[in-house]
Amino acid sequence: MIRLQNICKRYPESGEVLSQVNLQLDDGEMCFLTGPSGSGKSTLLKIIALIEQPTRGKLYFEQKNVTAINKARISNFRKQMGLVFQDHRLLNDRNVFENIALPLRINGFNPKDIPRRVRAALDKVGLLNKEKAKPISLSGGEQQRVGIARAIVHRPRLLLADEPTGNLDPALSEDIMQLFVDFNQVGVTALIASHNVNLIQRFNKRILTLDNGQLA
Amino acid sequence: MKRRKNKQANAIAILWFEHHIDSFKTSFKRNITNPLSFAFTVFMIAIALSIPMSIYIIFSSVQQLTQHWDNDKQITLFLNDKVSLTQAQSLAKNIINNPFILNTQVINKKQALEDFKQQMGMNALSADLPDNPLPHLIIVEPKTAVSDIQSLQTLEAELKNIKQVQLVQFDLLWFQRLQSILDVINRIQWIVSIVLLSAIALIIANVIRWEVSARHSEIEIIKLAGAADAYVRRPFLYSGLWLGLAGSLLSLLIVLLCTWLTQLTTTQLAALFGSDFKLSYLTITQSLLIVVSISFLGILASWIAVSHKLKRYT
Repeated sequence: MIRLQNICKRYPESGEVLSQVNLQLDDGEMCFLTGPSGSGKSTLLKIIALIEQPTRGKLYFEQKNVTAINKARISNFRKQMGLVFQDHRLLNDRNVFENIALPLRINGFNPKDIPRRVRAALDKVGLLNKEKAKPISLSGGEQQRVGIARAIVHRPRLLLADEPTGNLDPALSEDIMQLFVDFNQVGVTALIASHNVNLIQRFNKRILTLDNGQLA
Repeated sequence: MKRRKNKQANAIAILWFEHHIDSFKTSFKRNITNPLSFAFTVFMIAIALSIPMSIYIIFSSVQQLTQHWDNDKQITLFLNDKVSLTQAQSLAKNIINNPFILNTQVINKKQALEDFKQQMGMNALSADLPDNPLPHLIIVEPKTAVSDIQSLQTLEAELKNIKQVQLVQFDLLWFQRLQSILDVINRIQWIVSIVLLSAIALIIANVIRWEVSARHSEIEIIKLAGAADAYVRRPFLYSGLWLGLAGSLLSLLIVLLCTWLTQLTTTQLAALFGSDFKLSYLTITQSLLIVVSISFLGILASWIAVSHKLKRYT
Protein backbone atom coordinates (compact mmCIF):
# COMPACT_ATOMS: atom_id res chain seq x y z
CA MET A 1 0.00 0.00 0.00
CA ILE A 2 2.77 2.39 0.97
CA ARG A 3 6.25 2.22 -0.47
CA LEU A 4 9.14 4.52 0.34
CA GLN A 5 12.05 4.52 -2.04
CA ASN A 6 15.39 6.06 -1.05
CA ILE A 7 13.73 8.74 1.04
CA CYS A 8 16.09 11.44 2.32
CA LYS A 9 15.16 14.47 4.40
CA ARG A 10 17.53 17.26 5.15
CA TYR A 11 16.68 20.34 7.21
CA PRO A 12 18.84 23.40 6.77
CA GLU A 13 19.20 23.77 10.56
CA SER A 14 19.74 20.16 11.66
CA GLY A 15 21.22 18.45 8.61
CA GLU A 16 20.14 15.05 7.34
CA VAL A 17 17.37 13.53 9.46
CA LEU A 18 16.55 10.61 7.17
CA SER A 19 18.91 9.01 4.72
CA GLN A 20 18.11 6.36 2.13
CA VAL A 21 15.00 4.99 3.83
CA ASN A 22 13.34 2.13 1.99
CA LEU A 23 10.14 0.75 3.40
CA GLN A 24 7.13 -1.18 2.21
CA LEU A 25 3.87 -1.53 4.06
CA ASP A 26 1.41 -4.05 2.65
CA ASP A 27 -2.33 -3.70 2.58
CA GLY A 28 -3.74 -4.73 5.97
CA GLU A 29 -0.35 -4.89 7.64
CA MET A 30 0.46 -3.46 11.05
CA CYS A 31 3.94 -2.23 11.78
CA PHE A 32 5.68 -0.52 14.66
CA LEU A 33 8.35 2.08 14.12
CA THR A 34 10.81 2.55 16.94
CA GLY A 35 14.11 4.19 17.70
CA PRO A 36 15.58 6.72 20.13
CA SER A 37 14.19 10.23 20.13
CA GLY A 38 15.65 12.29 17.34
CA SER A 39 16.07 9.25 15.13
CA GLY A 40 13.57 10.58 12.58
CA LYS A 41 10.38 8.67 13.46
CA SER A 42 8.16 11.75 13.40
CA THR A 43 9.75 13.03 10.22
CA LEU A 44 9.13 9.71 8.50
CA LEU A 45 5.46 9.77 9.49
CA LYS A 46 5.17 13.39 8.37
CA ILE A 47 6.57 12.46 4.99
CA ILE A 48 4.08 9.60 4.61
CA ALA A 49 1.21 11.95 5.59
CA LEU A 50 2.56 14.52 3.09
CA ILE A 51 2.97 17.09 5.86
CA GLU A 52 6.64 17.32 4.88
CA GLN A 53 8.20 16.85 1.46
CA PRO A 54 11.24 14.57 1.21
CA THR A 55 14.45 16.18 -0.03
CA ARG A 56 15.09 13.15 -2.24
CA GLY A 57 13.38 9.87 -2.94
CA LYS A 58 9.87 8.78 -3.85
CA LEU A 59 6.72 7.91 -1.99
CA TYR A 60 4.21 5.53 -3.56
CA PHE A 61 0.64 5.07 -2.42
CA GLU A 62 -0.98 2.10 -4.16
CA GLN A 63 1.67 2.13 -6.88
CA LYS A 64 1.08 5.83 -7.56
CA ASN A 65 3.88 8.31 -7.01
CA VAL A 66 2.48 10.90 -4.60
CA THR A 67 5.78 12.62 -3.74
CA ALA A 68 5.01 15.95 -5.39
CA ILE A 69 1.25 16.14 -5.79
CA ASN A 70 -0.57 19.45 -5.56
CA LYS A 71 -2.51 20.81 -2.58
CA ALA A 72 -5.95 19.75 -3.78
CA ARG A 73 -4.76 16.16 -4.23
CA ILE A 74 -3.03 16.17 -0.85
CA SER A 75 -6.37 16.82 0.83
CA ASN A 76 -7.98 13.96 -1.12
CA PHE A 77 -5.08 11.72 -0.18
CA ARG A 78 -5.42 12.61 3.51
CA LYS A 79 -9.08 11.68 3.47
CA GLN A 80 -7.95 8.08 3.18
CA MET A 81 -5.84 8.19 6.30
CA GLY A 82 -6.32 8.71 10.01
CA LEU A 83 -3.68 10.54 12.02
CA VAL A 84 -3.08 10.22 15.76
CA PHE A 85 -0.70 12.58 17.52
CA GLN A 86 1.07 12.45 20.85
CA ASP A 87 -0.52 15.75 21.90
CA HIS A 88 -4.01 14.64 20.71
CA ARG A 89 -4.64 17.90 18.82
CA LEU A 90 -8.29 18.21 19.75
CA LEU A 91 -10.36 21.35 19.24
CA ASN A 92 -10.95 22.67 22.73
CA ASP A 93 -13.86 24.92 21.83
CA ARG A 94 -15.96 21.96 20.63
CA ASN A 95 -17.24 18.95 22.48
CA VAL A 96 -16.13 15.35 21.99
CA PHE A 97 -18.92 14.63 19.53
CA GLU A 98 -18.01 17.57 17.29
CA ASN A 99 -14.32 16.70 17.42
CA ILE A 100 -14.98 13.19 16.21
CA ALA A 101 -17.54 14.33 13.63
CA LEU A 102 -14.96 16.67 12.02
CA PRO A 103 -13.48 14.19 9.50
CA LEU A 104 -17.00 13.05 8.58
CA ARG A 105 -18.09 16.60 7.83
CA ILE A 106 -14.93 17.30 5.86
CA ASN A 107 -15.23 14.04 3.94
CA GLY A 108 -18.79 14.81 2.97
CA PHE A 109 -20.63 12.08 4.84
CA ASN A 110 -24.40 12.27 4.91
CA PRO A 111 -25.31 14.40 7.96
CA LYS A 112 -27.96 11.86 8.93
CA ASP A 113 -25.31 9.16 9.30
CA ILE A 114 -22.93 11.27 11.37
CA PRO A 115 -24.38 10.65 14.87
CA ARG A 116 -24.47 6.89 14.29
CA ARG A 117 -20.88 6.77 13.06
CA VAL A 118 -19.58 9.04 15.82
CA ARG A 119 -21.23 6.86 18.47
CA ALA A 120 -19.85 3.72 16.90
CA ALA A 121 -16.34 5.21 17.08
CA LEU A 122 -16.90 6.35 20.68
CA ASP A 123 -18.12 2.88 21.56
CA LYS A 124 -14.95 1.32 20.17
CA VAL A 125 -12.73 3.52 22.33
CA GLY A 126 -15.04 3.11 25.34
CA LEU A 127 -16.15 6.74 25.73
CA LEU A 128 -19.79 6.48 24.80
CA ASN A 129 -20.91 8.52 27.81
CA LYS A 130 -18.54 11.44 27.12
CA GLU A 131 -19.86 12.79 23.83
CA LYS A 132 -21.01 16.11 25.30
CA ALA A 133 -17.84 16.72 27.33
CA LYS A 134 -15.26 19.32 26.32
CA PRO A 135 -11.83 17.75 25.68
CA ILE A 136 -10.24 19.87 28.40
CA SER A 137 -12.34 18.14 31.07
CA LEU A 138 -11.04 14.69 30.09
CA SER A 139 -7.96 12.86 31.36
CA GLY A 140 -4.90 12.40 29.12
CA GLY A 141 -5.85 8.80 28.30
CA GLU A 142 -9.42 9.81 27.47
CA GLN A 143 -8.23 12.66 25.26
CA GLN A 144 -5.97 10.29 23.40
CA ARG A 145 -8.89 7.92 22.89
CA VAL A 146 -10.98 10.80 21.49
CA GLY A 147 -8.07 11.48 19.13
CA ILE A 148 -8.08 7.84 18.05
CA ALA A 149 -11.85 7.81 17.59
CA ARG A 150 -11.46 10.88 15.36
CA ALA A 151 -8.76 9.12 13.35
CA ILE A 152 -10.84 6.01 12.64
CA VAL A 153 -14.39 7.39 12.44
CA HIS A 154 -14.32 7.80 8.66
CA ARG A 155 -12.86 4.27 8.20
CA PRO A 156 -9.51 5.28 6.78
CA ARG A 157 -7.45 2.75 4.91
CA LEU A 158 -4.24 3.79 6.60
CA LEU A 159 -3.73 4.73 10.23
CA LEU A 160 -0.62 6.66 11.24
CA ALA A 161 0.15 7.27 14.92
CA ASP A 162 3.06 9.27 16.28
CA GLU A 163 3.87 8.27 19.92
CA PRO A 164 0.21 7.72 20.78
CA THR A 165 1.13 6.51 24.28
CA GLY A 166 3.85 9.05 24.92
CA ASN A 167 2.26 10.60 27.98
CA LEU A 168 0.32 7.65 29.35
CA ASP A 169 1.01 5.16 32.13
CA PRO A 170 1.90 1.54 31.18
CA ALA A 171 -1.55 -0.01 31.72
CA LEU A 172 -3.29 2.72 29.66
CA SER A 173 -0.60 2.48 27.01
CA GLU A 174 -1.27 -1.18 26.52
CA ASP A 175 -5.01 -0.51 26.20
CA ILE A 176 -4.35 2.10 23.53
CA MET A 177 -2.01 -0.15 21.57
CA GLN A 178 -4.58 -2.95 21.82
CA LEU A 179 -7.07 -0.56 20.17
CA PHE A 180 -4.78 -0.18 17.16
CA VAL A 181 -4.36 -3.95 16.97
CA ASP A 182 -8.15 -4.32 17.00
CA PHE A 183 -8.55 -1.85 14.16
CA ASN A 184 -5.86 -3.64 12.22
CA GLN A 185 -7.77 -6.88 12.62
CA VAL A 186 -10.72 -5.39 10.73
CA GLY A 187 -8.46 -4.48 7.84
CA VAL A 188 -6.92 -1.06 8.55
CA THR A 189 -3.26 -0.76 7.62
CA ALA A 190 -1.37 0.81 10.54
CA LEU A 191 2.02 2.32 11.19
CA ILE A 192 2.63 3.21 14.85
CA ALA A 193 5.71 5.10 15.99
CA SER A 194 6.73 4.48 19.60
CA HIS A 195 9.99 4.58 21.51
CA ASN A 196 8.59 2.11 24.07
CA VAL A 197 10.26 -1.12 22.86
CA ASN A 198 9.02 -3.21 25.79
CA LEU A 199 5.42 -2.32 25.00
CA ILE A 200 5.48 -2.98 21.27
CA GLN A 201 7.31 -6.28 21.58
CA ARG A 202 4.21 -7.72 23.26
CA PHE A 203 2.10 -7.52 20.13
CA ASN A 204 3.96 -9.81 17.79
CA LYS A 205 4.01 -7.42 14.83
CA ARG A 206 6.78 -6.28 12.51
CA ILE A 207 9.07 -3.78 14.22
CA LEU A 208 11.18 -1.31 12.24
CA THR A 209 14.02 0.41 14.04
CA LEU A 210 15.27 3.80 12.95
CA ASP A 211 18.71 4.82 14.06
CA ASN A 212 20.36 8.04 12.98
CA GLY A 213 17.99 8.42 10.07
CA GLN A 214 18.52 4.91 8.74
CA LEU A 215 16.39 1.78 9.03
CA ALA A 216 18.27 -1.01 10.78
CA MET B 1 -26.34 3.83 -12.01
CA LYS B 2 -27.36 7.22 -13.34
CA ARG B 3 -29.91 7.64 -10.60
CA ARG B 4 -27.27 6.75 -8.04
CA LYS B 5 -24.95 9.35 -9.49
CA ASN B 6 -27.72 11.95 -9.35
CA LYS B 7 -28.44 11.04 -5.78
CA GLN B 8 -24.78 11.40 -4.92
CA ALA B 9 -24.60 14.80 -6.60
CA ASN B 10 -27.66 15.90 -4.66
CA ALA B 11 -26.12 14.73 -1.40
CA ILE B 12 -22.93 16.67 -2.14
CA ALA B 13 -24.93 19.79 -2.97
CA ILE B 14 -26.89 19.49 0.28
CA LEU B 15 -23.65 19.01 2.20
CA TRP B 16 -22.02 21.99 0.57
CA PHE B 17 -25.09 24.06 1.39
CA GLU B 18 -25.08 22.82 4.98
CA HIS B 19 -21.46 23.74 5.42
CA HIS B 20 -22.33 27.22 4.18
CA ILE B 21 -25.12 27.52 6.73
CA ASP B 22 -22.82 26.11 9.38
CA SER B 23 -20.05 28.60 8.50
CA PHE B 24 -22.59 31.40 8.49
CA LYS B 25 -23.73 30.46 12.01
CA THR B 26 -20.29 29.79 13.47
CA SER B 27 -18.84 33.01 12.10
CA PHE B 28 -21.79 34.86 13.62
CA LYS B 29 -21.29 33.07 16.95
CA ARG B 30 -17.60 34.02 16.92
CA ASN B 31 -18.63 37.66 16.53
CA ILE B 32 -21.08 37.34 19.40
CA THR B 33 -18.51 35.70 21.66
CA ASN B 34 -16.10 38.54 20.97
CA PRO B 35 -18.54 41.46 20.81
CA LEU B 36 -16.20 44.29 21.71
CA SER B 37 -13.63 43.74 18.98
CA PHE B 38 -16.42 43.08 16.47
CA ALA B 39 -18.15 46.32 17.47
CA PHE B 40 -14.90 48.30 17.21
CA THR B 41 -14.22 47.02 13.73
CA VAL B 42 -17.79 47.64 12.59
CA PHE B 43 -17.65 51.21 13.91
CA MET B 44 -14.36 51.85 12.15
CA ILE B 45 -15.80 50.60 8.88
CA ALA B 46 -19.00 52.59 9.35
CA ILE B 47 -17.20 55.86 10.08
CA ALA B 48 -14.82 55.39 7.16
CA LEU B 49 -17.78 54.69 4.92
CA SER B 50 -19.96 57.56 6.10
CA ILE B 51 -17.41 60.21 5.02
CA PRO B 52 -17.64 59.62 1.24
CA MET B 53 -21.37 59.04 1.63
CA SER B 54 -21.81 62.46 3.26
CA ILE B 55 -19.76 64.15 0.55
CA TYR B 56 -21.93 62.41 -2.01
CA ILE B 57 -25.10 63.69 -0.36
CA ILE B 58 -23.82 67.28 -0.29
CA PHE B 59 -22.63 67.01 -3.87
CA SER B 60 -25.84 65.57 -5.24
CA SER B 61 -27.96 68.11 -3.33
CA VAL B 62 -25.96 71.03 -4.73
CA GLN B 63 -26.07 69.51 -8.18
CA GLN B 64 -29.82 69.22 -7.98
CA LEU B 65 -29.95 72.88 -7.11
CA THR B 66 -27.86 73.87 -10.14
CA GLN B 67 -29.97 71.71 -12.40
CA HIS B 68 -32.86 73.76 -11.19
CA TRP B 69 -30.95 76.91 -12.14
CA ASP B 70 -30.01 75.38 -15.41
CA ASN B 71 -33.62 75.37 -16.39
CA ASP B 72 -33.98 79.10 -16.09
CA LYS B 73 -30.65 80.24 -17.39
CA GLN B 74 -31.87 83.13 -19.48
CA ILE B 75 -29.95 85.50 -21.66
CA THR B 76 -31.13 89.07 -21.73
CA LEU B 77 -30.46 91.14 -24.87
CA PHE B 78 -30.54 94.93 -24.40
CA LEU B 79 -31.29 96.42 -27.81
CA ASN B 80 -30.12 99.77 -29.21
CA ASP B 81 -32.24 102.82 -28.31
CA LYS B 82 -33.16 103.33 -31.95
CA VAL B 83 -34.65 99.89 -32.41
CA SER B 84 -38.42 100.10 -32.54
CA LEU B 85 -40.84 97.62 -31.00
CA THR B 86 -41.77 96.07 -34.38
CA GLN B 87 -38.10 95.76 -35.33
CA ALA B 88 -37.49 94.08 -32.00
CA GLN B 89 -40.32 91.64 -32.62
CA SER B 90 -39.02 90.60 -36.04
CA LEU B 91 -35.52 90.28 -34.62
CA ALA B 92 -36.87 87.96 -31.90
CA LYS B 93 -38.48 85.82 -34.62
CA ASN B 94 -35.15 85.62 -36.44
CA ILE B 95 -33.25 84.58 -33.35
CA ILE B 96 -35.64 81.74 -32.66
CA ASN B 97 -34.36 80.06 -35.85
CA ASN B 98 -31.02 79.49 -34.13
CA PRO B 99 -30.82 75.72 -33.37
CA PHE B 100 -29.64 76.32 -29.81
CA ILE B 101 -32.57 78.47 -28.83
CA LEU B 102 -35.83 77.27 -27.47
CA ASN B 103 -37.80 80.47 -27.11
CA THR B 104 -37.59 84.26 -27.18
CA GLN B 105 -39.74 86.90 -25.64
CA VAL B 106 -39.82 90.63 -26.37
CA ILE B 107 -40.26 92.99 -23.47
CA ASN B 108 -41.63 96.39 -24.30
CA LYS B 109 -39.64 99.19 -22.70
CA LYS B 110 -42.79 100.71 -21.17
CA GLN B 111 -43.64 97.43 -19.57
CA ALA B 112 -40.03 97.06 -18.41
CA LEU B 113 -40.17 100.40 -16.67
CA GLU B 114 -43.47 99.49 -15.00
CA ASP B 115 -41.95 96.23 -13.73
CA PHE B 116 -38.88 98.03 -12.55
CA LYS B 117 -40.95 100.60 -10.66
CA GLN B 118 -43.03 97.92 -9.00
CA GLN B 119 -40.05 95.85 -8.01
CA MET B 120 -38.12 98.71 -6.58
CA GLY B 121 -40.96 100.73 -5.19
CA MET B 122 -39.48 103.81 -6.86
CA ASN B 123 -42.63 105.30 -8.30
CA ALA B 124 -41.73 108.73 -7.06
CA LEU B 125 -38.22 108.68 -8.42
CA SER B 126 -39.01 107.54 -11.95
CA ALA B 127 -41.89 109.90 -12.24
CA ASP B 128 -39.25 112.61 -12.36
CA LEU B 129 -37.46 111.02 -15.30
CA PRO B 130 -38.03 113.00 -18.54
CA ASP B 131 -38.27 109.89 -20.68
CA ASN B 132 -37.92 106.14 -20.38
CA PRO B 133 -34.20 105.33 -20.14
CA LEU B 134 -34.75 101.63 -20.81
CA PRO B 135 -34.45 100.02 -24.28
CA HIS B 136 -36.63 97.19 -25.56
CA LEU B 137 -35.46 93.79 -24.33
CA ILE B 138 -35.42 90.30 -25.78
CA ILE B 139 -35.28 87.42 -23.32
CA VAL B 140 -33.62 84.41 -24.93
CA GLU B 141 -34.11 80.94 -23.50
CA PRO B 142 -31.53 78.41 -24.67
CA LYS B 143 -32.49 74.80 -25.18
CA THR B 144 -31.96 72.66 -22.07
CA ALA B 145 -29.54 70.49 -24.02
CA VAL B 146 -27.20 73.48 -24.24
CA SER B 147 -25.77 73.33 -20.77
CA ASP B 148 -22.01 73.08 -21.14
CA ILE B 149 -19.95 76.20 -20.86
CA GLN B 150 -18.51 76.09 -24.36
CA SER B 151 -21.73 76.03 -26.32
CA LEU B 152 -23.15 78.72 -24.05
CA GLN B 153 -20.09 80.84 -24.78
CA THR B 154 -20.53 80.33 -28.52
CA LEU B 155 -24.18 81.26 -28.26
CA GLU B 156 -23.32 84.37 -26.28
CA ALA B 157 -20.78 85.42 -28.93
CA GLU B 158 -23.30 84.89 -31.72
CA LEU B 159 -25.87 87.02 -29.97
CA LYS B 160 -23.32 89.77 -29.36
CA ASN B 161 -22.68 89.93 -33.12
CA ILE B 162 -26.20 91.00 -33.92
CA LYS B 163 -25.88 94.73 -34.68
CA GLN B 164 -29.16 95.83 -33.05
CA VAL B 165 -27.95 94.31 -29.77
CA GLN B 166 -26.21 96.71 -27.49
CA LEU B 167 -25.54 94.45 -24.56
CA VAL B 168 -25.82 90.75 -23.81
CA GLN B 169 -26.37 90.04 -20.17
CA PHE B 170 -25.67 86.54 -19.11
CA ASP B 171 -23.87 85.55 -15.94
CA LEU B 172 -21.70 82.97 -17.57
CA LEU B 173 -18.79 83.54 -15.26
CA TRP B 174 -20.84 82.77 -12.20
CA PHE B 175 -22.19 79.66 -13.85
CA GLN B 176 -18.65 78.70 -14.83
CA ARG B 177 -17.39 79.11 -11.29
CA LEU B 178 -20.17 76.99 -9.90
CA GLN B 179 -19.50 74.31 -12.48
CA SER B 180 -15.81 74.16 -11.63
CA ILE B 181 -16.53 74.06 -7.90
CA LEU B 182 -18.82 71.11 -8.56
CA ASP B 183 -16.11 69.48 -10.64
CA VAL B 184 -13.65 69.87 -7.78
CA ILE B 185 -16.11 68.42 -5.27
CA ASN B 186 -16.80 65.56 -7.65
CA ARG B 187 -13.09 64.83 -7.99
CA ILE B 188 -12.58 65.02 -4.21
CA GLN B 189 -15.51 62.69 -3.73
CA TRP B 190 -13.93 60.07 -5.99
CA ILE B 191 -10.53 60.32 -4.37
CA VAL B 192 -11.94 60.16 -0.84
CA SER B 193 -14.13 57.20 -1.82
CA ILE B 194 -11.25 55.24 -3.27
CA VAL B 195 -8.95 55.98 -0.33
CA LEU B 196 -11.55 55.09 2.28
CA LEU B 197 -12.78 51.99 0.45
CA SER B 198 -9.20 50.74 0.37
CA ALA B 199 -8.97 51.56 4.07
CA ILE B 200 -12.11 49.49 4.72
CA ALA B 201 -10.72 46.58 2.70
CA LEU B 202 -7.48 46.78 4.69
CA ILE B 203 -9.31 46.92 8.03
CA ILE B 204 -11.31 43.80 7.12
CA ALA B 205 -8.29 41.97 5.73
CA ASN B 206 -6.32 42.76 8.86
CA VAL B 207 -9.07 41.51 11.18
CA ILE B 208 -9.35 38.31 9.17
CA ARG B 209 -5.59 37.79 9.18
CA TRP B 210 -5.65 38.16 12.92
CA GLU B 211 -8.51 35.68 13.17
CA VAL B 212 -6.65 33.17 11.01
CA SER B 213 -3.61 33.47 13.27
CA ALA B 214 -5.77 32.98 16.35
CA ARG B 215 -7.17 29.81 14.82
CA HIS B 216 -3.83 28.46 13.72
CA SER B 217 -4.06 25.11 15.52
CA GLU B 218 -7.65 24.58 14.45
CA ILE B 219 -6.77 25.15 10.80
CA GLU B 220 -3.86 22.76 11.12
CA ILE B 221 -6.10 20.02 12.51
CA ILE B 222 -8.76 20.57 9.86
CA LYS B 223 -6.16 20.49 7.11
CA LEU B 224 -4.68 17.27 8.50
CA ALA B 225 -8.14 15.71 8.43
CA GLY B 226 -8.14 16.26 4.68
CA ALA B 227 -10.00 19.56 4.33
CA ALA B 228 -9.51 21.48 1.09
CA ASP B 229 -8.55 25.16 1.23
CA ALA B 230 -12.08 26.18 0.25
CA TYR B 231 -13.46 24.39 3.32
CA VAL B 232 -11.05 26.19 5.63
CA ARG B 233 -11.64 29.52 3.93
CA ARG B 234 -15.42 29.50 4.06
CA PRO B 235 -16.04 30.57 7.70
CA PHE B 236 -13.57 33.43 7.28
CA LEU B 237 -15.35 34.64 4.16
CA TYR B 238 -18.53 34.79 6.19
CA SER B 239 -16.71 36.77 8.87
CA GLY B 240 -15.73 39.26 6.15
CA LEU B 241 -19.33 39.33 4.96
CA TRP B 242 -20.59 40.04 8.48
CA LEU B 243 -18.14 42.91 8.93
CA GLY B 244 -19.06 44.47 5.58
CA LEU B 245 -22.77 44.02 6.16
CA ALA B 246 -22.81 45.38 9.72
CA GLY B 247 -20.42 48.23 8.84
CA SER B 248 -22.44 49.41 5.86
CA LEU B 249 -25.76 49.19 7.71
CA LEU B 250 -24.34 51.20 10.60
CA SER B 251 -22.89 53.79 8.21
CA LEU B 252 -26.31 54.20 6.56
CA LEU B 253 -27.75 54.81 10.00
CA ILE B 254 -25.05 57.37 10.82
CA VAL B 255 -25.53 59.21 7.53
CA LEU B 256 -29.30 59.15 7.87
CA LEU B 257 -29.03 60.63 11.34
CA CYS B 258 -26.52 63.29 10.24
CA THR B 259 -28.66 64.29 7.24
CA TRP B 260 -31.70 64.57 9.42
CA LEU B 261 -29.87 66.67 12.01
CA THR B 262 -28.43 69.02 9.36
CA GLN B 263 -31.65 69.15 7.35
CA LEU B 264 -33.40 71.61 9.71
CA THR B 265 -30.64 74.21 9.77
CA THR B 266 -29.79 74.02 6.06
CA THR B 267 -33.40 74.51 5.10
CA GLN B 268 -33.58 77.54 7.36
CA LEU B 269 -30.37 78.95 5.90
CA ALA B 270 -31.53 78.32 2.35
CA ALA B 271 -34.86 80.00 3.07
CA LEU B 272 -33.00 83.17 4.05
CA PHE B 273 -31.48 83.20 0.56
CA GLY B 274 -34.85 82.56 -1.00
CA SER B 275 -33.87 79.08 -2.05
CA ASP B 276 -35.65 75.81 -1.56
CA PHE B 277 -32.35 73.97 -1.16
CA LYS B 278 -32.67 70.70 0.73
CA LEU B 279 -30.22 67.93 1.59
CA SER B 280 -31.45 64.85 -0.19
CA TYR B 281 -31.56 61.48 1.54
CA LEU B 282 -30.04 58.42 -0.08
CA THR B 283 -32.60 56.44 -2.04
CA ILE B 284 -33.42 52.84 -1.13
CA THR B 285 -31.68 51.60 -4.28
CA GLN B 286 -28.54 53.56 -3.41
CA SER B 287 -28.57 52.25 0.17
CA LEU B 288 -29.06 48.70 -1.04
CA LEU B 289 -26.24 49.11 -3.53
CA ILE B 290 -23.91 50.32 -0.77
CA VAL B 291 -24.80 47.43 1.55
CA VAL B 292 -24.36 44.83 -1.18
CA SER B 293 -21.09 46.22 -2.52
CA ILE B 294 -19.50 46.69 0.92
CA SER B 295 -20.53 43.16 1.92
CA PHE B 296 -18.93 41.94 -1.27
CA LEU B 297 -15.83 44.00 -0.50
CA GLY B 298 -15.72 42.26 2.89
CA ILE B 299 -15.79 38.84 1.26
CA LEU B 300 -13.14 39.87 -1.26
CA ALA B 301 -10.82 41.33 1.38
CA SER B 302 -11.06 38.25 3.57
CA TRP B 303 -10.57 35.98 0.57
CA ILE B 304 -7.29 37.67 -0.21
CA ALA B 305 -6.20 37.68 3.45
CA VAL B 306 -7.08 34.01 4.07
CA SER B 307 -5.66 32.74 0.81
CA HIS B 308 -2.41 34.49 1.54
CA LYS B 309 -2.22 32.92 5.00
CA LEU B 310 -3.35 29.46 3.85
CA LYS B 311 -0.29 29.10 1.64
CA ARG B 312 1.62 28.19 4.78
CA TYR B 313 -0.53 25.15 5.55
CA THR B 314 -0.07 21.85 3.77
